[in-house]
Amino acid sequence: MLLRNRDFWSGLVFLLFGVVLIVFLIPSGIVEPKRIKFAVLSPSYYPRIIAIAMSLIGLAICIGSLKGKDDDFVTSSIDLYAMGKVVTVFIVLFATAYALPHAGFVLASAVALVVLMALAGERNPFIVVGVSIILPIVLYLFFTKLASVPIPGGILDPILQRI
Amino acid sequence: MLDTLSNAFVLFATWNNVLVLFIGVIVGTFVGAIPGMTTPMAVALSLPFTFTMPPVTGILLLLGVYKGGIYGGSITAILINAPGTPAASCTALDGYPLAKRGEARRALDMALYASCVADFISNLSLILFAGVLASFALQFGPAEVFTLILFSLTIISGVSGDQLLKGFGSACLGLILATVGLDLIYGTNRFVFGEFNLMNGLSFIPVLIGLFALPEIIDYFMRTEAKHEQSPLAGAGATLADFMGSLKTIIRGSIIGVILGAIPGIGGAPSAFLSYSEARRNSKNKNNFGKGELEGVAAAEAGNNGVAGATLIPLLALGIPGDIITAIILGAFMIHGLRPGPLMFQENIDLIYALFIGIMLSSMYLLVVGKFSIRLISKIADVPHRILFPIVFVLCVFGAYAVNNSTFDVMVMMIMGLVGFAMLKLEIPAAPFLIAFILGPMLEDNFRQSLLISKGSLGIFFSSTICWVFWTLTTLVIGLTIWSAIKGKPKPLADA
Repeated sequence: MLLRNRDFWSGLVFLLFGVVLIVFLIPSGIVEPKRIKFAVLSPSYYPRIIAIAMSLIGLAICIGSLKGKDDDFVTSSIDLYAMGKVVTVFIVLFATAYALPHAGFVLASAVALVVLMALAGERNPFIVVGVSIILPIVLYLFFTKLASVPIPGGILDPILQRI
Repeated sequence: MLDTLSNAFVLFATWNNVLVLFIGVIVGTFVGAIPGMTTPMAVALSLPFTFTMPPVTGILLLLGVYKGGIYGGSITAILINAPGTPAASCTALDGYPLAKRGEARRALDMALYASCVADFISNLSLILFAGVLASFALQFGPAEVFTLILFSLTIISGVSGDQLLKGFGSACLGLILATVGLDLIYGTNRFVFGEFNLMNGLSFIPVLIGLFALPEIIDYFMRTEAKHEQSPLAGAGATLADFMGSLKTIIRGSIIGVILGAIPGIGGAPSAFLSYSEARRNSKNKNNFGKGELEGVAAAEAGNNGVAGATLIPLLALGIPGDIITAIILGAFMIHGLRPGPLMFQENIDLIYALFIGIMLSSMYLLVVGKFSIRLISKIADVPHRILFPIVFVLCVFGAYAVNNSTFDVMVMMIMGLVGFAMLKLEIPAAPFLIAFILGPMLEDNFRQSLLISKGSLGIFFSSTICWVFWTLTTLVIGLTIWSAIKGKPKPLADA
């Protein structure tokens, strides 16, 4: 059954992405200069070759997968709890990335640490709070003071500047 | 020659270099010893810390982490039957039964001695052969370099476990991603779609961290944490007689490691298993292999560590990374404005010799760190993943940002994490993706330079013997790939 075949889905991803590149992304995403000396030097020539190769590889994987055995990829006991946790983790990761410029690295990382450790099952409040406070501050100090990388302090900037 | 050596010594002999290399070996050994933490992840997370260091210091830190990580993987393989690295799974075959018998200390000592000897032999081969290969590579023009990179990508993709075609597909994805940004010749936009952050292309570190660290973190939340039963660090250490009894095996394993390590894409695991099977074939105690044979531990570790120095041969001589770790080290060279390859042997020979001195020193550090920190390392392996992985996530965030001081890069890392997680679940190997992403600009640059020289004629790619050699090798690899696909999936070496 195709729905259960991991190879089929991988092949389909390569095939579709290759086709999308050829049909849509390359024509709309690559700006061609007005005059090109040789067609093979066009900015889209090389990406087009790769896209064609990728489509052919995807097709070959799809065809090859039809002969193969099904695996337990899609069906057979989807763990809804684990899936829920992964979706939550994704939300936390992207929310952290979004919050970085506004809340600052130290605060955003500390909150992310608390949430991720709680999600992972760490129940010792001393460890959760201790790690969440100490690690972002240590990294902030390393990058700003030792490596001279300006890390945005965000709303904690006035406090962090004094350290 | 003597002038160059003395300049190299001056370049190397600073307290910073000596100390940073030592720290690298310690960090690598500790991280390698933690099940679930991989050596590439450790090297990737160390990379942002090298930005403000001088090139030699920064690269030595990464090399220290690399070498420590390879050895560290064997500690937990022996003590808790949980290899820290894939290559260390071979060490576990005999190491764990030895530990269960109360001979953990003896197994760990043998693993350490075999690792150090193999590492030393591998480093020596790097010093002897990299220069020779580099002087040969000076004859390469753009067409030859193009065919060489194409061949390397084919072989790297082709050895992606039993997922051969997926490896090629993954490499194509990496090549496409590498075209984002301004066109190399005309300077027009490619896949920029109005986002000015994309005009310089995607930075290597966010892509790397996103592909290799984030998927492991996300995947952790899908599984329950495994509990390991740790064998006590018991028994007497390995004796000189033990070591001498396995010396032949160690040297054979080291040579196997050097040969396989110098070929892009092979890596430590096949080398460890080949060395192990050769040791078993030649041993008087072949029936004892898999039940706690000390020679088995020596063979596995020699094969595994014999790769470490040799993988740097194609990197330094040709600028071609053979695996993920050397790809990261190539990235580190580029971040510091250096380009490994034959020209580097002419223009930065002091730096190369300084690295060689550091690499030789790392073998000694490995011995010291391994000898005196095993007890502590075995405790570190107990750090629960529920604390470790959130910490790694925060390291990823700071690391991705520090490249260009850009939160855009953090977002790129997150998106690549999503892509990497999908690839993990679909069993698409990520290594060809990353290596193709790094080599992509070089591949395209040489492709188009050749076409400029030949005024658009594709015949230039068949104009020299070197080109023909690489085309033949590429065809051979593809042919063998198709042949093995038709014949059925190859049997993993571990089962052989």
